[in-house]
Parts: sequence; structure tokens; C-alpha cells
Amino acid sequence: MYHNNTDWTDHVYDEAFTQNYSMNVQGGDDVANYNLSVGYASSDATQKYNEFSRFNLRLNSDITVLRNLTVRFDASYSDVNRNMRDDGIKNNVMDGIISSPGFLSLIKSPFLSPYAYDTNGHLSHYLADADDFLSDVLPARSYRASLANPLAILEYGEADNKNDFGNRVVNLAVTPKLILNRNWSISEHFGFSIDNTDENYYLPTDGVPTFDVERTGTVENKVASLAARQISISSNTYANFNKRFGANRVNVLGGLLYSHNSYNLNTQGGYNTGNDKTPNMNADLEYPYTNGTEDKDIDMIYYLQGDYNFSEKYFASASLSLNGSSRFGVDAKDGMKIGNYAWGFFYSAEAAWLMSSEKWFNVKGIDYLKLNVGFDHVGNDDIDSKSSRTYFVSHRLLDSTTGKVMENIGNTSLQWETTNRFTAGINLSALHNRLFLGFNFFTSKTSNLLSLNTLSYLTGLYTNWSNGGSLKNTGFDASLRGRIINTGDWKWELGATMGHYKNKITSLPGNRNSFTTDLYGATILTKEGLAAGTFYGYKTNGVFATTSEAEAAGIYQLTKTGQQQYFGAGDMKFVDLYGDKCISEADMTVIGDPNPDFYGNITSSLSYKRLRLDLVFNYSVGGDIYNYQRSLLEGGSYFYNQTTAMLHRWQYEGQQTDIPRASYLDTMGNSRFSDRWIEDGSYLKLKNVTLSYNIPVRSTYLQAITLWGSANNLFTITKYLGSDPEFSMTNSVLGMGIDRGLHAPGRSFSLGVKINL
Amino acid sequence: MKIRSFIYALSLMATMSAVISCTETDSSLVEFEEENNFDLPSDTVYSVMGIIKKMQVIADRTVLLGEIRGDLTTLTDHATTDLRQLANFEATAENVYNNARDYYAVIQNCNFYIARADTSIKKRNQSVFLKEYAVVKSYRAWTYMQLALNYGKVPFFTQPLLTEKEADVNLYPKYDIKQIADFFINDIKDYVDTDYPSYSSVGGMNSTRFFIPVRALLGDLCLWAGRYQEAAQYYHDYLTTTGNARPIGVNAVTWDDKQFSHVTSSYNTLFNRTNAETLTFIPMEEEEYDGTISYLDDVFNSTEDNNYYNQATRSQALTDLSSAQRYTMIITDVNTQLPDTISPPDSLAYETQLQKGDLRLYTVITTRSAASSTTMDYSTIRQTISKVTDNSVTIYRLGQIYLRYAEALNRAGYPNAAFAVLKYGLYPSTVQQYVPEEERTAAGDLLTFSQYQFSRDNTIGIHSRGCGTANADTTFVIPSTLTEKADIIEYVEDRIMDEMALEECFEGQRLYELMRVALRRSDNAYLARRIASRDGASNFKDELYQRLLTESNWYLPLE
Repeated sequence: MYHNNTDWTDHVYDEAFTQNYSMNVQGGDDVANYNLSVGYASSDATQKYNEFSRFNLRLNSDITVLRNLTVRFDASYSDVNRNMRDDGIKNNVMDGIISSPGFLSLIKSPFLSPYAYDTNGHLSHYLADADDFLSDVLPARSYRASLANPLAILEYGEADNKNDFGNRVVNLAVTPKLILNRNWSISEHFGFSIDNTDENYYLPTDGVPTFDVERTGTVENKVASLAARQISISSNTYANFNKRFGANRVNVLGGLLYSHNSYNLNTQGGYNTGNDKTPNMNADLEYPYTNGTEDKDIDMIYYLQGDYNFSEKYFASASLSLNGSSRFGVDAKDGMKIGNYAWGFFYSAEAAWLMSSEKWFNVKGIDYLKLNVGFDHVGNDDIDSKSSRTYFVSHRLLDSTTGKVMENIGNTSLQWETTNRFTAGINLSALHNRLFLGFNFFTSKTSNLLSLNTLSYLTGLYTNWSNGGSLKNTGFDASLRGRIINTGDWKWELGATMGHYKNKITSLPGNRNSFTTDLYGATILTKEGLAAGTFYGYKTNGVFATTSEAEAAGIYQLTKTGQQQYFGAGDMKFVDLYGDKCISEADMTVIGDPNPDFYGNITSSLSYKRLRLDLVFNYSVGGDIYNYQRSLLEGGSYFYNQTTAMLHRWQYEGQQTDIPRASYLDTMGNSRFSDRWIEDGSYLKLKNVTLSYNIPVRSTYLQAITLWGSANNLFTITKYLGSDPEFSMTNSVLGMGIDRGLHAPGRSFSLGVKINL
Repeated sequence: MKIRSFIYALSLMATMSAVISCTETDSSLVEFEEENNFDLPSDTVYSVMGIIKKMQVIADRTVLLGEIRGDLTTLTDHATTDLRQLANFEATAENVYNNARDYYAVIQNCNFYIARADTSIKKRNQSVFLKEYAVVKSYRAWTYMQLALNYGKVPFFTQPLLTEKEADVNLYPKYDIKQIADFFINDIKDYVDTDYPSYSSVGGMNSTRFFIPVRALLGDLCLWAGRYQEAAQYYHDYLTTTGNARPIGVNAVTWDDKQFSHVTSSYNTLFNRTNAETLTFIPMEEEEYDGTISYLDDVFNSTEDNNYYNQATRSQALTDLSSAQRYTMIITDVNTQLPDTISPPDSLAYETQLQKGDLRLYTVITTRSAASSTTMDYSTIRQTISKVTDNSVTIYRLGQIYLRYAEALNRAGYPNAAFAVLKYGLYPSTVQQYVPEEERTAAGDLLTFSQYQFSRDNTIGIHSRGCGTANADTTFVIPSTLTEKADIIEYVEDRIMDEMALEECFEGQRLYELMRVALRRSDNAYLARRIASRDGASNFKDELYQRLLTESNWYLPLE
């Protein structure tokens, strides 16, 4: 049974096939114009049972009802279905069960087989159960000692009522526009959208060890479902004035935007459905739970915007808006009080000068030169709809009744985050439009950052949302594009972009000047003067080779019960920055910054007659990545399959190595968050190669046929040890640069044909 | 033209409706403060349950803060750093047991209820909310008392804080325990006769025991306020309430035979929360999944979660006190056929030293050896303290009330009556026989017990719960050498303190009892000396002693 040599990733990942069809029809006459597009795509993922399909339909039409009245009608529908499983590594691997097939395929022991052996010792086609080779040594909490068969999660979890995600969106909009005279028009854009999402989750019984739910009893399987619906109604009524006076041209637009959003989310789940044939919610589930939110919010924006230009040389534009939202606190600090509500006032202005249009401009070789500067003062409204108010929430009590407790005290001065941004740029083209250069500089300061603020202990509550702290972000993006060869048959265009930014936290709310956040084993430091997302951990300096070396160093840590625990031979040498011989939080320091120094892409497009080759490279330099996945694959803390690097772990007195000894549960914390797991995430990646050929056709029915073949993610040049340095774990600032082994987009090859009728 | 006016009307409508409905956002899953108006009976029930939910959070602390910092328990090598800090009076702001916020969470919810519930709403001429109102007022008073006992001077307010501005610590006066006690005596005294709400069984538990007896709480507050006569009166009235008299009962742990070879105990059953001894407990969830569970088990007992290494155990001081007691038994002399009083001889070989002297400690704490251990991580010696109950934390029980009644009587100037609570138990004939006439006259109603409710059949001296027939013990007396009343009172108070140690160990009362006596006697050393010698006189901790001479060091740091 234990004589196999299984590469589990072979069983979990597979080559995938993708198909994509689309059709676009447009037409019309004096009365009506229309554009209809329909598309369908379906794709298998490289991880088995993760296929995806999408159907979408869009109709746009313009109807002239009267000479001065037009109505635009837009409708769209999309339907996405996806089969999915847990992905990535959880926050704490010891907490509950590991259910991500991708991660399981890495840590599952190779001496096991995915298929069971029958009583005669022959390999059967039945999937093997969760492993149990450790059950005699680690009897308590079996799920810590046993890993699920990832194929069981994939196969037994496969059904529409098991693991399935569906999203359907309908958008409808009607926009009548009344032209009053040559200068004035009035429009009303009425929009309605409905967005439905439902999701089923099922973790099977067979092939998966039993597990605990937050220190309750042991359960066999889990079922959960989610249903969400968002309905938005909006109305945008505006008047437009457009006039030309000699060389002056003015366009002014003003109106009122009203929108109403309601969002409903319900989740429910439970454990022990019986068996894998009955993956249903029912009243007999153990530890059932339901959860949800219901939000309604209303926004109103009065706005006015104007554009002006003088003889197509001097451009100016400005906009003003007054925003009211039910999400703002009634006493919002920067708000104007109108009625019982606080309104935010925002504005922006921009000016541009097309220097090359000046009569006196006569620089040889420069065809076009435009300078622009701008300033804006904007706010966001990404605030939870309840945060500004005091509310109570009901909780279960004693498994038989309900207790209602105060859960939030309102921050009536809660408001938007304010960003002041200054931009300046230059765009030019030269050498008879064969060289294009663009450079844009920006600097912005966001203040009133929304953050969870620690409340006074008198409230009996821990935090509420408040505004505080500020962030500065300065950078530039530059682009250079040149047509290097431009002969009759041969054309070659080469381009590059480069972006750079530097963000810095300039102040924090309250009277703190730093705080830390724990995420996926990492500690993220938020501190005045540092970039957002800074990694904060221990520095290491190799491994103690001998007991005498360790004893001479005399470095220890304190246990939960306050006893000194000395680092010995084979343990990491953590750097005792504080100098008290005790490795503790005082020794933590900045060990990495996930923000890249610069990043961008390089493109090349070479064509010979009708044959064309396009290349797109991405690159990023100087950003650090915390390789959470490697910290588990080389941590030596659990009975998980490890990488071959672990062959060099410390094993005998005197061994010189930089990988510490393996130790179950790692009581010395050798695999803790330290610079061992911080890697340089710089890379250059060939993102896409496309070769296409345009077949010459001359026909009334057929306008063009293009044949193409392309490859994605062909190669990456990097020192990074994880699977893909170009990934994003979360949109949150704090999760930046943490690789938790999410399913990375694989290498793909496509062939296609495009027919224009 | 028609179309134009239609569009104008449309845009106007959009504006109008926007203006109107900006206020009407709501959510069905939360209840906004302005909607929480207590106009339905169910509002008030769920609010009381919500307060209980918050009480669960501080439940373990009511035991640990009073017990681990006292002189009756000591920590084992397996205790957490947090517990160690408590025991040494060195708890930092980060200590898990130091969080005043959780007490204020109870207070906030109580304040909100008290501010909003309308007791004037009547149904069939009965106030709809009055019963809950009384319950919530007593929870608030009790929680403030806990807060002041653990934190010294604490910000005091009785209105709900609904905005951050109102939650500024500097806006409120800081009250110490005396000020808190004086305020709440006044605040709850009108509710002594208000009935408890009747929710019957909640989660399989008798819900009337979720509530705090108002008279008992008033007794406590009066003790802290130094109003001893009133304290004694409240305790007395609580114990003798017409139709609900609470005699102490005769449960005890005793030697079966005059050879002192076998022990029988009906004492442990008192700690079962269904026993009449238990007056109030905080109900705890059974599983973490459901909410807050009690971890007292993991501190005091050997459990799977602590690998069978209990973190706290009896202190040497408690063990010494227990074995220094004298057990007395009345037997009939086979020769003379006359009753005789005997005690275990000094030479008696006990099964365990815990059997020496008072038997309560012996029966409350048991240790056994596990036959084999599956891994070497597990302790082979397993401790169980029977007072630690599953899924509830007791905060009031009858034995405590009797001892505090004695404490109040003594300081009110009735030391003989107080001592009689320990030695004889009070009922008409013992009052008559053992309380001197001048005390009886002065005490008046304080010593009135109905002969129909209190008799030798249902009353014993508390000392008899572990020391046999205490009323026959000729050494358990107020020494006749003491003639000054003040000396007698001090002597009796020391005996009451010893009795409290024997009766209430591991229940979380100890630190506060030591504080009460030390403050009363203006003698910080009284507390300091006892706590510093918790591990026996030979292990006196001088540093701890010095620290505890300063009253402010008794308290946890308020953030």
C-alpha cells in the first residue's frame, strides 16, 4: 500500500480545452440603428472539475422618434456558470480541514495511491479514502494527522447541486433625449439592473477525514449555499448646453443622478448530510448556520461639468458635484449640512495646451506636443451602509432562545475618503508620427482613510468604522512606442511602458503610529512613513550546526507558561535585534516590501504582408513576495510532503546547512514568518504570442477572414521559487504580495478564425 | 410639447422621491437604535437574554480574578503566563483576563434597556416591563461592583453611550467601590419585592436562577459601603422571606465511624446547579460553536484540552488551614451510655493528609492516577475540583449568603450571633440559647427566625459542614479572655474569614473578602500577608508582600 510513487499533481491537473464563439451584427437606417452581439465561451481549467461557461447577449439601439426626440435602448444579459472547489492555502493549516485539491496535491505523501487496493492487493479503480498512516501516532484530532484524497474532493464533489457557482446579470436602460434647439438638449437615463448569484458548496464524506468545527464534535461532511441578489435602479437627468462663439467652444452639462441599491445575501450551511448521495440542506444537519445581510442605500448627486476650448489649442474643463448618500454619517466632518444630511462637495479641473498648434511652434521633427495639468478632489463612498449608525443584532443563546445585543455605536461623522490628486503630463509624437512618447506624473494624497478604529472601552465594543489616517502616492507612467521599420511589406513596431509609484502612510488614526495585521502566517506592518503592506517579521542568520554553538549563543524564547525554551542544534538562528537573548516580538523588523520599484510591459508587432507576429511581455522589478506556500512545503512542521530542498535540512550534529531540522508542530517556531520566506518577485514574462494571417477575400458576403494562433504565458524569467510571481491574492492593500498557492493561469495555446461578414 | 412636459414631470418625480426616501434605508438583520423602542414584550425578553450573552463573556473572570489572586489557590507549572501575571499582581494591559471593556458591554446594554424600557406601560394593571427592569438594574449594579472590585476607581455613567463623543473617558467621574455601593443601594432598593420574570426552562436550565436576588446584592453593596446593620437586615430578610425561607440545610461531609476510617459526603451535591444551594449562575454555552463557553475546567481540572495538566490547585495556606481545624463527633460511650465528644487522634493514619481536620477540602478536590498514558505529553495525575460545574458559573449560593450575613452581624455589633451562624446555625432555640440577651434586644428583627421554617432539622452551623458536630467542639468558641467588644469582633471576623476560606475556596470570592477586611481595618498588610504566604509560611514572598501593601496594586490596570 505504501510502495507507490505518486505525483499527485498529475492527478489533479490536466490539459484543458477552451472554446469561444462570438457574433456581432449591426445595421440600421435613418429611424433606427442597432447593434446585437451574442457570445458563448466555455473552458476547462487545468485543475480538473473547474470548468467554466459564459453566455452573453447585448443589444444597443438608437431610435429617432421625432425629429428632435431620440431614444436609446440598451439591454444586456450574461450568464456565467463555474464549477469550483476550494483554492489556495487557508490562514491556519491546523485549523480545521485542508480542502483545496491543489494544495493537497502538493502535500499529499507520494507513497500513497489515489486509488484503493483491494483485499487481494490489486489496485482498484475506487478512490482511496483519506490517509490513516499516522492514526496510531497522532490519535487526537484525526484531521490534523490525515489528509483528504484530493481526487475524492474533485470527483465526489462533482454535481450541479454540490459545487457550483452561477451568476446572471440583466441590465436595461432607456435614454430619451430631447433636442430643444441647436444649443440645448435634455436627457434622462433610466437604468435598471438585477444581479443574481448563487453558489453551492459541498465537501464530501468519502475520501475526506472527519474534522472538527470550532472545537465542537466531529463531523463527516459539509454543505453550504449562498444566494445573493442586487437590484439597482438609477435615474440620471441632465441638460446639455453646447455652443461655439468664434474660436471659443463651450459645452456644459448639469443634472441629478439618483440611485437606489438593494442587496440581499443569504448563506446557510451545516454538517453531516448523511452521505455523498444526499448533499442537501435539511433540518437534520448538525451545527447548522444561516447568515446574511440586507442593505439598502440611496445616493444622490447633483453635478455640473463644463468643457471649454479656444481654437483647439487651449483646453479647460471643470466639474463640480454635490453628493449625498445614506451611507454617510449625518455629521460627516467635511460635509455640508443640507436638510438633515451631510453632503460631500467634490470638484476637478484640468487644463491642456496643444503647443504644436501654435503658429510659432516650429521644432523640427516634432509633429505633436501637448502639455496638460489637472487637479481633482474626489471622494469614494465605499462605506458599509450601517456603519454610521447604532444598531443591535440578535444572537442565539443557550441553543434555545435569542439575545439581542448592541453591536455597533454609530459614527455619525463617518464620511468618504478624500483624495486630492495632481497630475501633469506631456504627450508627443515625432519623426513623422513614427515615434510616440508619453509621460504622466501624479501625486495624490488620500486622507480620512476608512479604518476600523478602536473604540473607547466604555462602549463595551471593540471597533467601529471611522475616518483617519492618510496615504500619499506619487509616481509616473511613461510610454515609448516606435515604428522602427515601415516599408511596403515589412512593418515593425516596438513599444514599452514603465510605471513607478511610491506609496507612504503619512498618518494613522487615533494616537497610534503603527499597528500590525496577521494574515496567512505573515505579519503586515502599517506604520507612518512606510509603504502599505510592509512585511514585518524575524531576521534569520542560518542554522545552529552544533549544540555547543547553540549553547554559546544562549538564545531562547518564552513558552505560553512563561518558561524559557532554548534554541538548540538544528534550530534557526533568529537575529536577536533587541539584544536580550529572548526571541520575542521585540525582535521583529521590516523584512520586505511587496510594492515593486517599477513595472510595465514590452510589446512588439512585426508584420510581413498579411502575416503578423505580436509579442507581449510583462515585467516587474523590486517587489517582494511572501511565499506562504513554500513556508509549508519547506517548513518541516507537519507530516506534509515537502520539496526536495528538505533533503538538506539539519540532521546531525555539526551539519552546516541553512534549513533547520524537521519538527512536528514546530515548537521552536523555526518556520515562523521570517526572511526565509521573503523572495524577490522580479520577473519578465512572455505573456502572449500571436501569429495571424489575413486571408485575402473578395466577396460581397465576406469581408475578411483572419486565421490566428496564439500562446499565453509561454515562459517567465524569475528567481522566484513559487509557481507564478505575477499573481494577486486579494485586492486588499494588506494582502499584497502573499502567495498562498492560488490556482495560477496556466500556459495555453489557441487557434482561431475570425470572419467578418 | 406634451412629451417635454412629461420629461419634466419625470425628472421632478425623481428628485422628489429621492428627497423623501433618503431616510428610509433599513436592514432586516440588524435593528437600529432608534427602532429599538421596547414596545413589545418580546423586545424586553430578548434584551435580557442579550445582557446574559454579555455576562457570559465575564463569567470565567468572576471566578479567576477573585481566586487566582487570593491565598487559597496556587498555580502549577502548567499555568499560562496570563494566569501567572494575575497571581503575582503583575497583569499588564494585554493580559487576556484584563479587559474592562467586557464589563462595560454588560453595562451599556443594561443602560440602554433602562433608558428605553417604559415601565409605565401596563397590561391588566400590571407593568409589562417591571420584572425585567428589576433584573436589568440588578445586573448593572452587580457588574459595576465587579468592575470596581477589580479596577479600583472606574468611570461611572448610567446612560447608554451611543456615539463616540459620549464615550470619552474624561467625561465621567471615577467611582470607587464605596461610591458605587452607595449609588446602587439607592438604585435597586425599591425592587426587593419585584418578582423574577418567569421564562421557565431556557436551554434546559432553570431560568429563575439566571437572576440576581436583589436583597442579597443589596447586602453585598451595604457590606462594601460599611452599612453593616442594613447589610445584615437585607441578608436576613432574603433568608427568611415569607413563603420562600432558605434554611442552610444539613448537607455535610462526615466521618462514618468513631475509628475515623470512612468518609461520607452529601456536601458535593450542593454544587450541582439544580440544588437549592445554588441561587444564581451565569448559564454558559455547551459548545464553542454556540457562543461563549467556560474554560474554568481547563484551569482547575485535568482535561483533554490541557493534556490533563491542571493549571491551578489548592494552596499550601488552604491545606494548612484545613488540617488545622478540629473535627468533632458525638458518640455514645459504650460503657456509660452517655454521649461523649471525640476527635481524630493525632496519631491517626489518614488515607490522605487532606482528611486531617476539616473534610470539605478533601471532598471537593480529588486527584487520581491515570492507569496509563497514550503519549508522554499527558499528565498521569488527574485533578478534579467538584465545584467547577459544566456550562454554568455560579455567582451566588446559600453558604456564601450565610457567611456574609455573619460578617454583617458581627460588624453591626452582634459578634455572638455572628459566631452562632458558624457554630450552631440560627433558629429560635439557638438564638435564645447562644445569643446574649443584650445582643438579641439590640438586633431586634435581625435575629428573628420562624420556628416553622428554621429548626434543628434543617439548620446546622456552617462549620459543621466539614468539621462534624461543631456545636459540641469546646475549642471552637470565642475565648473568654477577650473582654473588649472590639477584640471580640475582630476575633470573630478572623473565624468568619477562615470559614469563608474553607467553605468558598475555588469559587472566586477570596480576594474580595480579603480586600473588604483589609479596607475595613485600614490594614493593607492583612491582605498582603495572607496572599504573600499562600505557598506556606516558609515560602513567604516578600516582593509580593511589599507590592500588596499599596492598595492601588490590588487592581488591574485600566487601559
